[in-house]
Amino acid sequence: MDYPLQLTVNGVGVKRIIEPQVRLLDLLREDLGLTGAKEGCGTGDCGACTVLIDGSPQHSCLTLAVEAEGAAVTTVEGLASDEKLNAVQSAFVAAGATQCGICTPGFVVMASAYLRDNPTPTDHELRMGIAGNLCRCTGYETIVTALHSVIDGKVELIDVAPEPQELAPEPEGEL
Amino acid sequence: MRRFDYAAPTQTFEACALLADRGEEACALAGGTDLIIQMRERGRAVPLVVSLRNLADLKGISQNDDGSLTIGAMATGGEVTDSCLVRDHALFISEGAELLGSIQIRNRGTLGGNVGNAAPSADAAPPLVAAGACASIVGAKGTREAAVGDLMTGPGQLALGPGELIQSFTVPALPAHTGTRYVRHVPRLEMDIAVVGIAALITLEDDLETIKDASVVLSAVAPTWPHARTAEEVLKGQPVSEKLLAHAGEAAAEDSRPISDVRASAGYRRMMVDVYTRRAAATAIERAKAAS
Amino acid sequence: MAKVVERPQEKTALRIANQPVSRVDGVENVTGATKFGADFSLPGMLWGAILRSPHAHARIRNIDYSKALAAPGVVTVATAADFDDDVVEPTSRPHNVFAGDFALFLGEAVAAVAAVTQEDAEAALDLIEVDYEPLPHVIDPLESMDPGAPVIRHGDGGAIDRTEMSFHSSVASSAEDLDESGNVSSQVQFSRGDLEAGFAEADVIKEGTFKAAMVHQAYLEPHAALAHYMPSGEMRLWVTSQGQFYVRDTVARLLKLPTHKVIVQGTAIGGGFGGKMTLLAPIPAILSKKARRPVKVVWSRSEELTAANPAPQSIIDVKIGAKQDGTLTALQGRVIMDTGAYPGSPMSTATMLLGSCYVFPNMELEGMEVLTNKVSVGAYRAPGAPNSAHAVENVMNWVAQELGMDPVDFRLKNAIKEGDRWPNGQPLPDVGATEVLGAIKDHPVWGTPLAQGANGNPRGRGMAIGCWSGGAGGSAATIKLEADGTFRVLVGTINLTGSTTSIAQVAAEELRIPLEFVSVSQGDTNEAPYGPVAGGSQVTYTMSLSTAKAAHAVLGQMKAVAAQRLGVTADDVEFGDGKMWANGDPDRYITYRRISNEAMGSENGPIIGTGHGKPERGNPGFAGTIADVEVDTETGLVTILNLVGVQDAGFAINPLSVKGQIQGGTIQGVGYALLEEIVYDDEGRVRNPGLLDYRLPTAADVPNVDAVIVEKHNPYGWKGTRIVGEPSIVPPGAAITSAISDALGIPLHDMPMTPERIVMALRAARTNGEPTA
Repeated sequence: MDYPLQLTVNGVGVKRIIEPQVRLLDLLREDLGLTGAKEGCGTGDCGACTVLIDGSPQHSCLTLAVEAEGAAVTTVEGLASDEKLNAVQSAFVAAGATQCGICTPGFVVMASAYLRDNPTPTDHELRMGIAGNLCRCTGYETIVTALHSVIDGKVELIDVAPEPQELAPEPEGEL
Repeated sequence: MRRFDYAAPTQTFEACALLADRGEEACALAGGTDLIIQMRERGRAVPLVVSLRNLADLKGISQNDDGSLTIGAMATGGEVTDSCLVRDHALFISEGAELLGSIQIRNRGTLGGNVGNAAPSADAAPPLVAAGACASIVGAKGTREAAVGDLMTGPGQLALGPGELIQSFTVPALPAHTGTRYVRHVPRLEMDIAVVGIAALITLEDDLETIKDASVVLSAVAPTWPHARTAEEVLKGQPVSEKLLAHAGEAAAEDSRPISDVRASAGYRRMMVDVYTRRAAATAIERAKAAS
Repeated sequence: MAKVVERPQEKTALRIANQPVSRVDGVENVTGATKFGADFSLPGMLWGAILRSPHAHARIRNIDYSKALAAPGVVTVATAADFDDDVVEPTSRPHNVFAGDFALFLGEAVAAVAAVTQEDAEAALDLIEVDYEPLPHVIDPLESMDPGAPVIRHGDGGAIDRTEMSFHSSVASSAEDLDESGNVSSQVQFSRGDLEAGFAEADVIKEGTFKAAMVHQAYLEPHAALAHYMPSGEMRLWVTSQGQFYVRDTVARLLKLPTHKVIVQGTAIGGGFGGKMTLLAPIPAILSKKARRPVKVVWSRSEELTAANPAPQSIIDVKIGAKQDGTLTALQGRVIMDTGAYPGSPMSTATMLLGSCYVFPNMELEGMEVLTNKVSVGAYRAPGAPNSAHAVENVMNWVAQELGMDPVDFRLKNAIKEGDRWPNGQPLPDVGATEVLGAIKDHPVWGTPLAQGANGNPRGRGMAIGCWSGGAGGSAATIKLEADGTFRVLVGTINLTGSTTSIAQVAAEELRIPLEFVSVSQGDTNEAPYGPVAGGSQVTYTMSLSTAKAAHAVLGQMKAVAAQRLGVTADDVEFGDGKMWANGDPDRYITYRRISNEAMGSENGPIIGTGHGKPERGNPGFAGTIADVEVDTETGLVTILNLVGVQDAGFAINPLSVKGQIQGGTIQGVGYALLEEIVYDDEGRVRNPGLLDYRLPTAADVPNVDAVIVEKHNPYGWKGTRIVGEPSIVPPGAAITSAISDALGIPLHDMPMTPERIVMALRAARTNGEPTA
């Protein structure tokens, strides 16, 4: 049976007729082409599919799309502005907090929401806060370091599409 | 995941009617953090999923005039964890809810779901049992009350009739000089399932040295969430001492009926019931003193 | 922590190499723009699903999939019958895509369905009728070695496929294949001197039997592959794999397609660690060939944990003798490695590595690879080495303790050096064992005694070292000078660990331009020059040499153009920062941009250079760990207080990335030591096929790792570079278990040391009246 569904994703209205077994993750990835959210386990144990549902970080793999009726969904694709990465994204790049990168979207979404709600956590609180997101490559250290730089307000926002630079000007006159 | 039908009624009686109509074929969907996994990973067939998301009377946390606290079945783990009302009323309910997976899980998973899923290793249910909470159960014939401790009849089994839903939990006002603690044993700090869980509620006499009443409820070491009755008897009426707590721990281990599985052996579980009963009771006693 | 540097003075100052550089693909990663295996789709694409054996061992009498074919949405079904006998190799898992006459483990692929939706494909699996005759099975490797045990292979013959193990190690394997009448599939022996005499002259002898569990690489991205068989007869694949050329060759062979008709685009890869090679790609390929439509298959996490190729379980005996002055006299070792249902485990490497860190004048090492009805094993970051180190390093610590020697001094006295020989007789180049030990000795953590625990819980310290030989495969890189004076590097290697960033650094260093003027593209197997599998820590090691050669080729062509314009010979041309000039006259220059444009219109253009070759030889990387722990003796819970990871990187092209590798490998070692284990029941079923009960460390479970880079120049690498990826995972398991043992005052023998194992070991020690902490 098909069900009507209406929600917004990264601020854009979405209207669909869908089957109820379609998960929010499937809707985002297969229908809307937003492949930033990843399926690492399908059981809510790795956090790679984390998206914001009305601002609250949740597993899109454990959420039926029909359950997001009327919600405002934000994915990793919706975090940066046109010009700049957000603070968590910028800190991840600067600290080398991405290695293979598969866990990164979920981490960035989760950490952005966590630090919004808890701007000054202790190291232990921070680590507990992101413990629902698994990373196999980094050992978490660079991720935690990146997030501490956000907490300490030491992040320079990174340009999304930097202006190209010129290396060497053409010399004046003929050679 | 197999295909299924879905309904998201806005009235509780409609939800009950749908569940009653389809009987075994229907299942209520709260947060989905257990049900979706059962349907996808373990091939559970649920021809009709009845979503509870639009039922306003299953939501919210409020204090009642008689001092008791009512928590809606659809209150999420995160809401229960963060609620000052819950923390002030019975801290261990908040502690149990805080152990429901990660933040992401707690933002979806609900207190009603944790009870309704009826897993012996539930973390949020045992404190409700220990606190003597009642579930308000709504069905086609109206509403009835049942002690949470009587609800679970076995793994995955609840004493609910066809079309019945848990609407809310009411936790009675706790006596003066009472402290609570929920603690569990897991190999990892987060993202794990209780190998052993202990909910302890201790009420002291006015002297703050003698145990007036004790409630100890076990998780993951029996088919349900039983009271450790012998341990409770050991504690009641006795002056607090390390020896007493050690004795209570041993008694709770005897009370437990653990099985061996991939998470731990029965023997190790029994040893951990001993250790964690002692630790949970000690913290509950400290809290009872501190609150007085 | 200062790094230890030992290398020849550079002629010119380094500008980009040896500097910490954040990943060139960082912005793509944090915005979700990076496309991984499952992120690729095509119009008209079908979804594939795999039917797996419900029996640990069974004869397959018949497969009838007519009902599945008739089901809604189903387009085609594939089985073993779709592969010709002459391409199937029953003893090689990658070349035995579907179980043929026999299913040898529970979870082995039996058939696959392609359908319009994933639900349709999965639903159709239930309609495939397989007539199984269950056969006796054996799960435990020791039981499997019993003469009366069920025989696992069925006389289907074939040499053991050691291809994937060879990617990881450049060291010759001397293992001998055995016939299939028993379950020991392969064995190896190494000996030196006179073992009995060696133990006779020892003052202290310690021994133990060590078990290590089967663990999973647990890359966060499950296997995924999309195949499109084109009407032209071309097979195009988008695959998450560590080696796109290896996937190409495997698919071409299995489907009998000419190599040039198989085009594989390796996608961004969400971790591999040795475990993501070519297991999946042939399945969507055969489905697409039959369906004539694109087919995508993505594994679930439970398929990963039951049917991929995890790291082997092992049982290792080690006995070590030493004189009172700390001189080692003898080593005896025996490795039993469970290879699962297919031979080809890292047994011989694990056996040899028992004697790889120290000089043992007398030794006898023996290794046996044992078949069981479990999933076949594969490579996992330094395959077999953590198992070996766990055994040897714990015994080394016991010997040091008995001798009353500092364990680092004891090791320094015996550490292997240039010219010493490994057990296989191979002489070593200048390795960094001594330097790594020196860095441990100098580390503040090692110099600071352990403080008392606050609540009376015992604390302990452990250290260990280990090494890995690594790969040294052939590779190539192409560099093009673009019209605006920027450069593009084209490679065929997979960007598994940030190697793209390192390759960009090498190119920028050689071309003497800032990093942002170089882009690195990973081309598909059709467009890119050959690159080896991203395994054996070899990509940066070999690609840095090829990239430098390509840069020199490009610079030579550019200098020819510049020389003509400047009116000097090419030898007199100097360059840097995007321009070239005549020696001594830097103000009169020609830009790279102009060189590109002038070359385009001349007999010298366009400018493009390729470098290829391989390192003259591999050169092992050594790593060491210090671990401080506190143990709750009532519950067995371990808290890691300090973790120090030291590694010799030769020359750290990107120290940020090298530190990331040390940290990541060390924390994977924490998984080995404390948490991770694939558990089987007696029927051969995995009891923990999800990430809830297969426990990876979370951020809350681990401390920071103080990563210390040692740089001992490797004459065979670019500017002294050595392999980096693997060595860091080798010693942590040994160091952490040794620290727990130190805290409790009892010897421990298992990995992982779960809380339950710790409590039970303590209880056993108390029952036996042994002193404990």
